[in-house]
Order: sequence, then C-alpha cells, then structure tokens
Amino acid sequence: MRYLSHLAMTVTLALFLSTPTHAQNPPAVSYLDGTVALSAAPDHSMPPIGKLLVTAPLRPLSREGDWLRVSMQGWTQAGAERAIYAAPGIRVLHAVLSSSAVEMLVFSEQIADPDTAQLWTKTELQGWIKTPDLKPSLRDIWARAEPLFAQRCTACHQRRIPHHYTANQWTSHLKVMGPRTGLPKDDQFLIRAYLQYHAKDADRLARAAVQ
Amino acid sequence: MTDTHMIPRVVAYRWLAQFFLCPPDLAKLESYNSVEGRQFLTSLQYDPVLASPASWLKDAVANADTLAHLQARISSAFTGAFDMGGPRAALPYASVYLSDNGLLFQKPARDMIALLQEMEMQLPEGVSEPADHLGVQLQVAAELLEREEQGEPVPIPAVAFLDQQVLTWLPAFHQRCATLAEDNPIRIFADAAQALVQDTVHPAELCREPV
Amino acid sequence: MSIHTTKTVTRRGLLKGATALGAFSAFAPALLRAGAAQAAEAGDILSGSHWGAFNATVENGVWTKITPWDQDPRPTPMLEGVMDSVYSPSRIKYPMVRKAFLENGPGASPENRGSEEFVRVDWDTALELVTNELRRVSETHGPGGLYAGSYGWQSPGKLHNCQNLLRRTLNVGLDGKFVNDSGDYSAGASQIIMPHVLGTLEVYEQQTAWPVVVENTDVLVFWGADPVKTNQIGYVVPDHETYAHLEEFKKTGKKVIVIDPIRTETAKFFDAEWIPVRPHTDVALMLGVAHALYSEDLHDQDFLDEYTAGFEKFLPYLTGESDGTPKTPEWAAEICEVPADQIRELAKLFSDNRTMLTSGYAIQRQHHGEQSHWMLVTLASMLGQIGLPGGGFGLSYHYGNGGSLSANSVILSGLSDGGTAVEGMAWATETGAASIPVCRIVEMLENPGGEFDFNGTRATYPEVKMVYWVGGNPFSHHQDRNRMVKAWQKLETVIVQDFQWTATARFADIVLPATTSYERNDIEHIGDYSLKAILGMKKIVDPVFESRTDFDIFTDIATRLGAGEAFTEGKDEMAWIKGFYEDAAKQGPAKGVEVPKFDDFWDAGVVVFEVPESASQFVRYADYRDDPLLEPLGTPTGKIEIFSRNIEKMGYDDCGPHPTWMEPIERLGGNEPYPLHIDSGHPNNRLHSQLCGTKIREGYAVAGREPCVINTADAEARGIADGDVVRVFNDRGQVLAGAVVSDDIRPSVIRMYEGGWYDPVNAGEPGSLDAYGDVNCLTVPISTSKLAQANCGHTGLADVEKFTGDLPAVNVFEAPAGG
Repeated sequence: MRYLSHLAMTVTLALFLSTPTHAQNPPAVSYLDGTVALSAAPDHSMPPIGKLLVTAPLRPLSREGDWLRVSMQGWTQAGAERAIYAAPGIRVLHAVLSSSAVEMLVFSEQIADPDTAQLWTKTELQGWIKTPDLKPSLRDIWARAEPLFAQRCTACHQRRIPHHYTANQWTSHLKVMGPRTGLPKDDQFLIRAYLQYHAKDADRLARAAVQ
Repeated sequence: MTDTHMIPRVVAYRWLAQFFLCPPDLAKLESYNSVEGRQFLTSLQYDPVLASPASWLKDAVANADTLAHLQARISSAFTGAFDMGGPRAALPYASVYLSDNGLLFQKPARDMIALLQEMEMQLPEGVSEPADHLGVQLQVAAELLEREEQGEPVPIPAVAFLDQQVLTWLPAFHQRCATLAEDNPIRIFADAAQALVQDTVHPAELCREPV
Repeated sequence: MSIHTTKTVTRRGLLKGATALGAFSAFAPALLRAGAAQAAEAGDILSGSHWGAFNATVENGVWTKITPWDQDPRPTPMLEGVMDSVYSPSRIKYPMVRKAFLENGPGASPENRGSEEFVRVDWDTALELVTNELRRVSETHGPGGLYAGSYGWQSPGKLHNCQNLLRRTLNVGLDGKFVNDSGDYSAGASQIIMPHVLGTLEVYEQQTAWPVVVENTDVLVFWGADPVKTNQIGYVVPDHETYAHLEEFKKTGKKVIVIDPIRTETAKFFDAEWIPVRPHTDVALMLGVAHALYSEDLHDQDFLDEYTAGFEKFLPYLTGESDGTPKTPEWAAEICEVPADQIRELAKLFSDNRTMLTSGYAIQRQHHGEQSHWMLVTLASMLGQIGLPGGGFGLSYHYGNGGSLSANSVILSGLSDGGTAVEGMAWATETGAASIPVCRIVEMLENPGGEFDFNGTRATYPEVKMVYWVGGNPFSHHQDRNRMVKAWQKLETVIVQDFQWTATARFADIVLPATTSYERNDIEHIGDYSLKAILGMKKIVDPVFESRTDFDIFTDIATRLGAGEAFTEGKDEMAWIKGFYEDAAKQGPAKGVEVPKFDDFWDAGVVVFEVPESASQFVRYADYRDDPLLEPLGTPTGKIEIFSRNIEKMGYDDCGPHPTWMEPIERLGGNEPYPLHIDSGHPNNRLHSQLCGTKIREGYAVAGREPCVINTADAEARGIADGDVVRVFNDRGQVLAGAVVSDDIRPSVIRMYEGGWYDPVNAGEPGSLDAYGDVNCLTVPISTSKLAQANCGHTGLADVEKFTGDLPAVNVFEAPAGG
C-alpha cells in the first residue's frame, strides 16, 4: 500500500499550482520534505526569518517565480512562541523563528493541556519559501525515513521500537543519538519526525493534525 | 638407525599419529574388516608397544553391533577427551602442559611450526589443529625416522626431537588419559604412544619380546 | 633451496609405491604434506578490544605478546588476559551438537542440557541443522517461536557485530519473524524512568566535561559508582581518559564522598570520606537529605519553579502530610544506618557548595530501582545546580569514560540489522510481543501466553521454542540461575555461537565456533563518548581450529535461507570495512576534519581526531538552564518531572507518580530471610564474565574460587578465615567462593562480583552446588517494577559458612594440566 503512492511522490510545485487536470482537487495541505529557510518576502537579499522543518504541514497560497508563499498552522507554548509545534504538548517541531518574526504570527484559540496545565495557543504562520519539496502525504516522506531509521539506527544498538517512547522523548533521544548517526542534520530531523509520528502518543498527534 | 622391529617404527608412528589426528571414519573401520586390514592388525599385535591398541581395534571391529556404533563410540571418546575440556578432558597439545596457564599455541606450537618449515612440510589437508598436537608430532617423528633411514639430512635427529619436544609433555598427557575409563580408546592409544616414544628414546627400558 | 624442494618431492613420490612401507600406507599414511607452508605472519599489529587498543606481536603466526597502544593514557592490566582468551583451552574448536539432539531431534531430553556429551560435526552438517531448525520453528510455531533477542557485550567492531548479524540474517532470510528484546541488564530501570523525568535515557549520555568539574565542583559525590574500576572497559574501544581527570581532581584536594556499602577503588584512590550506607536504602537516605534541605529552607525554590514540574505534589509525601510519615533525617537514619546528624550535615554541605552527585547503575539494579535515580535527580533539583558548571547530577561518569572530552570526529556507521522499519512487528499483535524486556526471558519461557505490563503497555509473552544466542552469556548475566536452568528445559532448540565454552554454550544443543575479534578484520571507534579516534581492528592471527568469523557464519546461513545477496550486498569483509570508513570520511568537509584515504588509514592503523576547545567547557543541561522554553526537555511539561502524570496514569502499585521509598522484597533491616546482603557489582578484573577464563583470574581467585569479600566481624562470627573456601547460600542456590576478610566492606554485606563462570557440580540439576562462584545463583529474579521490568541483580540476601565437605574441583576453565 505504501508503495502505491510512490508514483505520486515527486509531485512538484508546478503540478500543485498549475495543473487543473488532477482527477481530484489537490490536497489542501502538503508536507515539507526537507528543511527550508523561511523569508518574509520572495527576496534573496533579505535574511531569513526562520526555518521550516521536515513534515511541516503547508498550505500553498501564491507563487512568484521559484518562490512559494505558504501558510502553516501549529501550536506554541506561552512564552516560547519562536517554536511552533504540531500539537499542544506534543513537541513535534515544525518551525523555528527569529525573535523578530514572532510578531508576524496570528494567534487564535488557547487551550490548557490537560496533562501539564500548560497553555498552548493555536498559531498561524505565513511566509515565503523557495523551491520546496512538498509531498501530498506523510507516508511519502516515511518512504525515505524508514530505511534511514532501519539502516542508521540499528548499527550500534538493538532496534528501538518507535512506540516505546513518546514524541517528546524522541526529541531528546535524537538530540543525543542523532549526531552519532553521522548523518546530515536534515536526515536526523527526518528520523526524529518519523519516530515521533510513530510514537506512543502518535494517535493524539494524528488527531491534533486532523483538527 | 636400522629398524629391527617387526613393524617398522615409521609405520608404528604413522599409525598412532593417524588415530590421534583423524579418528577413523566408517570407511576406515570397514577397511580393518578386510583381509589386508586384519593382517595388518595381526602384524601389529606382535609388536609389544602396539599390541594393546591393535587387539582392541581388532576386537572392536569384529564385535561391534554395527561399525557405525563403533565409529560413534570412538568419536565420542575423542570429543570428550580432546574437544570439550573439563574433568574428563585430556588435551593432546604440548602447549597445554608446557605453558604457565595451560594455554594453547604457546612456545611448543611455535617450535613445531618452525620445524615444519625447516622440513618443508605442512599440516595435513583439512586438519585445523595446532602444530604441537600429538598426532602432528608423531607424524613428524615418522618423517624424521624415514629421512634418517634414507640417509637424508634432518634438521634434528628423530630421537632428539622425541626427547626434547615430545617426552617433555607426553607423560603428563598419558597420566591424564589414565584417568579415563579403562576401555576408552584414547587411554589405550595414549598408553601405546607413551610406550612407543619411550622405546624409541630409551630402547633398553622396554621388553621387546612379543607378547 | 628450490633444488632441495624438488629433490624432496621426488623422493616422496618414489616412496609412495616402491618401498616396503608402501604396503602399510593405506593403514598408516604419511599425513604431512610436502612443501613449505607460506611464511607465517610476524611483526607488530595494532588492534583493539573492550579493554583498549594494543599492539600485538606475532611470531611464526602465533600471537606472543601484547603491549598497550602508546597513546593509551592508562592501560588496564586486564589487557594481558585478552591474548590469553584467544589461546584459552576453553575455545570452541569445532561445530558441536548435543548427542540426544543429533540423534533424536529437537526437544530430545532437554533435562540433559548442560551435562550431556556433544558430538563433533562438520560445518555443513551444523549449518544445515541450524537452517532447518530456523525454518521448522518459523513454519510450525510462527514468528513467536524464535527468540533472537540475543544480548550481551559481544566484542567491539562495526562489522562483526554478531547480534546485529543474527538479526540481519533473520530479517533478510526469515522476514524478520523473531522475538527481539529491549533494554539491558546494566541500566534497565533508569533508562525507562529517566525519559519520564528528563525526557532522555540519561545513563548513556555525555557528562559535564571533567575539566569543568575539576575547576568548579567543590563536593564530588560517588553514590554507588566506582569509576576507577569500571572505566577500564568500554563498549567500543575505551579511551581511558577519565583517569587523568580524576588525578587532576585529586590534586585540588577538594572533598570527595563515597556513599557505598564498600570502600571502593574510587574511595581508595581519593582517600574519600566513606559513608557505608546500608545497601538498598539509598532512596531513604536521599529523602532524608531532601527533608533536611526543605525543613531548613536550604532548597532552591526558584529552580524548582522554573525548571521542574510537580515538586508541590511530591512535597506532601516528603513532609509526611500525605502518608503520616515525615521523611526526616531520623526516619532515614533508622532505615539506612547513616546517623541523622550526618544526613543534616550532608544537606548543608551539598547546598553550601557546588556539588556534583554522580551515580552508577548499582542502585537502580534493585527492586524498585526506578526510584533511586528519580530521587537523585529530585535531590539535585532541590539543590538547584543542574546546568551549572560542576553542579547537578551525572549518571555516566562511571561508564565509557563519561565526561572525557568529545573530539571533532567523523562517525562510523555500521552494519544495519537489515530489517525495514515496521513490517517485522506487524505479526506481534497476533502471536505475542515482538519484543520483551530483556531480563524477562525466563518468565517468558515459564509463562507463554501470559500478559505482562511494561511502561504503560500490556503485552503477551510469545511461546518461544527456540533460542539463538550470539555474543552473550545469559547463564552469567541472568538472575536466579537454578530457575533459569529449569526454564531452559522448555526449549526445543538452543543454538549458541561463541568462541569459548561459556556456561551458556554448555547448555546449548548446537554450538558454532566463532573467531575472537583478533582473528578477523574490523573497524571501531576509540572512546565511547569522546569518539577520539577510528581504529583499524586488524586481524592478528588466522582463525584457530575450525572457527569462522561471525560475518562468514551468518553469510552462510543467510545464503541457505535464500538471502545471501541481500545479506552481503555483494561485499566481503574488507569491502564493508572500507565502506564504513569512506562513508564516515564524507562527513569530513562539513566538520572541517581532514580524513586520510582508506588505504593510508589502514596502513597507519588509526586516525586520531582533534578535540575542540569547546569540548572542555561542556556543561550538561546548560542549554536547558539557559532557555528552558526553547530547549525543552523531552517530557510532557518540557521540564524535569518530579511528578509524572504519565506514570500516574499507568496506575502501577510498584511505581508511583513521584519518587517514593518502597520496601524491597528483601533487604537488611527489612524482610530479612538471611543475614547478609549480597553486593554483586561489576568486577574489577573482568568485563562481566569476559576474561574469567584467563590468567587474570589467578590474580584474584581465592583457593581457585571467585572471591567473596566479608567483613571481619561477620567472618569471625562464622569461624571464617581469609583464604577459606566458603559456601554462600540461600533458598535460591548455593555457590562456593574464596573468603576475603576485610574491613573495606561494611558489616552484614558480602561482595561477590557478577560474571564468575557458572560451574555446577551436577550440571543440569537445579540447585546444584556451583563450584566456582556465579553470584547470580543467589540473586532475585523478580523485576524492578511493572514500569521498567528491569533486573534486580543487586537485591538479595544470603548466608555464608565455612565449607568443610569434600571440595569439588573447579572444571569450568578446562586447564587439564592442573587437573
């Protein structure tokens, strides 16, 4: 089943934005495959205002040359708005912003995480990214993540089972173990995201993503 | 050295060596059931140092339920004494008896490797044993004896070799084998090996009349 | 020379048929082959081991001398035993099959495992048997029938990682249908609880750099940790960097405290203040210190507010508001036998000074062991020094030379286990757990289909019929040997692949002889944490007897399973090694590291990397302290969780939501079925059971037995003198040992290091007297709790008596010359 989507894997931007021949409507959200810099405007000369991480759920808004304007929804913890996560209390990191970029965020509902009583705010971010690799579903991203995990995280120790740990714990594990894979940072982020989406609290994460 | 024995000493050494190095397989046991085989064993029986193992083998071949049973019995004796160690073991390596910690591959093994080099000989095909194995030493003794008989130069006279590199530990091995069951072929052949080497080095000390 | 050769050959050719001897040649053949053998290897070869890198001198193809690598700052004396192990009479020489198994097939007379004789077979026969058994069990019993969670310290090396090779074989050749394990016997409790508390494993992570500790720490505490002893070894090739740092700290003359029932090697090294705490009561002692801190307002409330979660829920327990028992120093003193005043002094000392609380794994290898490090972290949180230079806590200074400086190195990958990420687990829901907590193996065998809890999940034990073990010795590391001997009888087939006749191999059906790592080529890092160098682990001598490399053996099995190509990916030993190296070398440019070409590296034998200045300033948790919101911990709150809602939700009766003192199943001063506590720490002169069968043993064995250290008063009371053979016993088992009478151990405690080779007088008979001294005959088999399901190797009481019966010989080391 997983491999059926192989064909659709290399859906390009052009397809997304300019090909109405798609049998169905293009998916409203697609997922970033890789890490990209985020800019306030489609302009190289300006320094980026942050970065978007692999699996960030993006909604394409408009296009200018190689540049794509996107919007992303996520959650921030009160006081730590520079980090945008996938769900309240589940720290799957989607974006990191410079301090100055925080003022661009649009905040909406606020909830108290029942387990920690911490306040989380639904947040929308908009900005420009250049020639991003977007995938219609997370499964397309896992097709690259799974073999990386299987090959690079079983050489030194026995295979860890993704659902033995929570998504937050995987962040910490990868902070320590990621560098020991010798892989580039982007690939370490990819493995981390893969493990987080298959973690003990993956159901909660999926529900949050649907919302 | 002129061989005045009924069974040439070279043959005696090779026959015993073969037993220690490559326990008889089924085909070999069957061959002792042939006319030539029985004749060979009978002639061995006339030699005081070989009489006991020859008689044992002759009887065993004649009386075994099946030769396969006999072969299994001999293999089992080998494994118990040579392959496993422990209380019933009698390891057939000089190093075990001549090194501080009972280790394998110590100086006696290196000396044997050097001697084989000098003699331009190699371990038998398919034998993965250390060069200070009793079977290898007995084969080397046979080779030296044979070269001496042929008037060939030898790196070391056979008697000196046996005295300096075999009798230094064979009695300890022999003693170890004496703790095995009386009908254990290893014990019977070890007795013969001890007697044969002793007889070669110190011929006067052994009665040479046929039994 | 060549003329002579020709002449010899000719002469031998003539001899064959023409002489009188010819008639006998069928029965008395000349077996030696003519022609000089290839010149045997000679020279010096650099290689490595769990005990360090070394130079091997080879003469005539035989390894004759071992000398430490010239860049090893503090070689361990154990290195001498490394060479020994290659030439040990305990080597497995040929493939062997237990007789009844060979004759009657799987499951034949399992009660004779351990005592029955073995039959030598050729490799082809052995591997055919192995392959057929893998297929049969898989087809007959499904994926839950085969246990390949083979565990143990094996040998270093990125290629011949035998446990990985086993799983790779089964992943590519048997579709991953096997039961695996999780966790380990070292730090099983802590590595499960710490992720709830700090978000991470903690126990296997780099520590605040030693130079920071030397400069900033005022009070250095070793709470059940003995780094002088345990840093001699490494999971990879150890760098031994710790020792120079310990010297530096010693030179400062600053305070060192050792809290331990034993005056450890570390205590002696520092001439430290020794607090001989009653074993198994460390949590009570910590609570006592915590209470003193709180009641005297010495705790750091700001730190607790900013960086931790749930202290307010723990507090009513500490004060006794919730359970009526204030955890005062007096309360603690009663339990741990450290005077209340001293507990108060500790509280004051810790809070007045920059204090580093280091701990090892011993206090978590106990019933309710999760609590020990949780409480230690809670105590460190109250002191408020976590993330400050030289303050806080450290759970890995004793392991892998933690705290030594991290080099800027490129990193080797290694051979993967060959499986895809999730498919192999899909069957688990139908046939039982695809993975069991590693130390539950005996319970699994006893209780197939039974349910078990583990860290918030519930799973079912699979019905395992076959075990394949490589690179480990469970008949050493598992607790309650006699129960294990019995459980093992439930298996139909046991395959063990090793280089020596461990007790585990003796209890197998099929035994495959592997080489040591010194009879093959490999590659490995030096420095578990520092990653200081990459070392070519070059072959020193050819494989002895019929041993084969692990890679070869598994290549053969995978090929027989029809997956040879998938297993090897078309590469041989050197191609893999070169591949690992060149893969790592690619990281060079990004890291600014110059990496030599492979051939140059292999010729030189080692490449050492530079240590950046920043490494000597590393402070664990400094980033968190700096910005707790943007560097959150991996816990639900992102903070240090003194109270864990996740654990609370699990509702376990043996692991509550905050650190708690709970009575263990046995302890001095508590439930006391026998009068002496058994301290079964890691040995000083072995790596677990590795090297037990070498000359190193002669340096420590007493009357040929494993030493049992006993306090002078306890020895006197029992009429035991130093050097006596004693019987150590309880309801679980009995072992012989050699008494070492000493005041370096507190009264009512005995110490027998784990890893002594199990040598039952009547093998296979549960309850048999062990002639050498395997302490795990005596330890308790229960798990720490439902949370971690880890082992309790440091729990258990016993008694000791002078042995007066007929002394059974020690046979397990197979040195026949001495009888």
